[in-house]
Amino acid sequence: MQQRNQAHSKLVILGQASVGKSSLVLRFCKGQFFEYQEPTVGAAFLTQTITYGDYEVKLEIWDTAGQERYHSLAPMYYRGAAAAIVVYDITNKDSFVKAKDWVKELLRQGSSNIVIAIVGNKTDLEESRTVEISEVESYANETNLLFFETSAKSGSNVKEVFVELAKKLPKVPKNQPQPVEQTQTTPNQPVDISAQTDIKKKKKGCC
Amino acid sequence: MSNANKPKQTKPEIIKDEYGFPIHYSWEEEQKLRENTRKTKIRAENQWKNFIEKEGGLATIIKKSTQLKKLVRKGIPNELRSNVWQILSGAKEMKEANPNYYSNLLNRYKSQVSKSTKQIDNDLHRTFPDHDFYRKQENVDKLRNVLVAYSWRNDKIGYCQSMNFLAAFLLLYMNEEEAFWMLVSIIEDKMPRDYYSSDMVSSHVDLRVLKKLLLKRLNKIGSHILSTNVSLELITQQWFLCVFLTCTPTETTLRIWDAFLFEGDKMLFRIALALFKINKKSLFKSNDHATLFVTIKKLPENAFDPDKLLNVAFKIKMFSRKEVNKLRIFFKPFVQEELEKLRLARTEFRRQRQQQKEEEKRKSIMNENSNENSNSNLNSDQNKNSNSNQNKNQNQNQNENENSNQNSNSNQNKNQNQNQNQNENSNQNENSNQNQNSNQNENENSNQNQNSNQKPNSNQNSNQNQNQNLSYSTLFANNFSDI
Ligand SMILES: Nc1nc2c(ncn2[C@@H]2O[C@H](COP(=O)(O)OP(=O)(O)OP(=O)(O)O)[C@@H](O)[C@H]2O)c(=O)[nH]1
Ligand SMILES: [Mg+2]
Repeated sequence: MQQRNQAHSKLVILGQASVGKSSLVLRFCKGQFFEYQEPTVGAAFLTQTITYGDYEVKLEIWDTAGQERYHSLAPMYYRGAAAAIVVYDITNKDSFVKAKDWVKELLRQGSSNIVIAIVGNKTDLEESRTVEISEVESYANETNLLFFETSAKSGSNVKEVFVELAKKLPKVPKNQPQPVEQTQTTPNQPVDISAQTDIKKKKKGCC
Repeated sequence: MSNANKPKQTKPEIIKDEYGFPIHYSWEEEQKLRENTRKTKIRAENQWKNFIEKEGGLATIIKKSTQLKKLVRKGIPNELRSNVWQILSGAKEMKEANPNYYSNLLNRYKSQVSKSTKQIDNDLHRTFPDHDFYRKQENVDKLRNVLVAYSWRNDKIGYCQSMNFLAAFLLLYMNEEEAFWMLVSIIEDKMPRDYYSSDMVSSHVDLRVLKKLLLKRLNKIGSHILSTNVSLELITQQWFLCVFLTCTPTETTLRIWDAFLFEGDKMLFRIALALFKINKKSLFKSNDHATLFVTIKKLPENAFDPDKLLNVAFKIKMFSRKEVNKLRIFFKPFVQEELEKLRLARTEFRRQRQQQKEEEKRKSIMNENSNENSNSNLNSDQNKNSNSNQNKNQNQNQNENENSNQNSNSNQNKNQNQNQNQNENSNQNENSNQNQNSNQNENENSNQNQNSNQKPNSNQNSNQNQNQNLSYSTLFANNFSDI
């Protein structure tokens, strides 16, 4: 597929239903967390700019539906994706198995040099943990993935996932004028989800 | 980030509309509009009153009168909705024909756990969490009952995310049992078969049909949209599966539901096309897939004027049901083929994973018993083979399971045969009278339609050939290379 908007890197978020995909995105982009986040039917999409040093990386973030029967649309999500976050729930062993399936599928069918992070979410529920860090660590090493554990609820480590991924993506000098940046400049554009945030300056809920 | 961030942020004060849902951002405009259209609404309500009086009561209103259709298009008065919906959809009839069915179902499977019930439990509190109604546990329990009962009734579907919204919306208007039968009528009667089932074939088919209709009926805007390669399906699937719930402002959603329950799934296409038509300008301004995605995703939310939306929807020189079905039949094999490829690929991944595990086991065994090398190799090879077979079988079983019980559980009139085309056709016949009425104006177009119908055949064929060489990641790229 043509990626007209060259300045953006496409990032997809995959994982079993209710592991916290939407919550991670919401935490990262809006600094919010809702105890009851509605299930995603179809896909949500937003753009976010990460700045580090003198560079910035523009992310096009795709949050996907988790229920298995929706997965036939997955190739549409991850075609052309430069990065992927595969999420499991540390209190749900099955979700880690699903995560590994996603990784495999991405490696086979995704873009050839896709950067993948595997993310164990819900660390605030440590007492109910069933997926051990060591297990995922060795898997991540073998498979050459970034590995994080997060809590969308507390916010712990969430930003780090996106920033570390972004560091591995094509970057542009910070103040360089962008070639026609339509996603963010089209007039009449409803603004709420195409947020543009300098993460360094970001305070909770600023975008 | 450390744990310094305080957990449990609650949403800021949420403003609700008269139906208890959080307002959309076009709320102010919507309020003004309500002021201006209050008289029209009252007039419509009076017309309803007169109609019901004339007919001698709600219970006797006949499904297919043109007068009723007109009235429904104007909107069903909110206090009549519960009843009229149940009558129009046929849910009432089903309920009366199957007394105790619902409670028996619940009792029979009481406290049984399945894949569906697990997912339902995951989603219960995530369904309209801001609506006061679902702040009460007893109402959440009702929602659970309806969804769980349905999942046992129909194994092939079980539970599909989006059904939670449908059921929860219905429960705002009626009791559990009534909502259950409404859900049955929507899923098994109003919508094409296999919309919500485990592979969602018909849902995917309809998304293609919509694209095709977009090109045919709104050619300019349609070509513009599709030329950007925006992944339209990722948006429109939600529109259709939820019958625009959670997408449009509530007043509009209700009006869509009124019309949908009377006129059937064709309404989905009409509404979708109307959304594109009304918002032509902003769509043309969006020139790349990302901007378009955002714009399109917002279209329903902006549709706070139900009269405008429905008027445009009904006026769209559209299609007969025949045309829609033709397109459905046309796209189905392609979708099926693609789904099958995907399924095979994923089965293969799973098999490989299992194999890998086995190999690891073997290695560790080999290390332990390095002297008995040859023997252990042989054995584990055999194991490996039998294991991979097992996997395949398991997968098949899973699929079969989803089909089984279906016959025994379903009290429907319809065959649940696998011959879907036939079924779909018979479905449609039930409604054909009604369609003929509503489509008299549209028939002018039918010749033209047929002509253009033939087009995709050749395209499709060439696409099919291409598809064989295409990598799996492009499987769901659209089949509209003619644009
Ligand atoms: N305790 C805890 N709960 C979380 C965390 N992240 C998400 N949740 C909760 O888990 C549930 C599911 O979260 P979502 O973000 O909707 O999960 P999802 O993966 O997007 O789910 P689908 O859209 O259904 O695929 C919600 O009720 C969240 O509040 C977390 O870090 N800790
Ligand atoms: Mg989600």
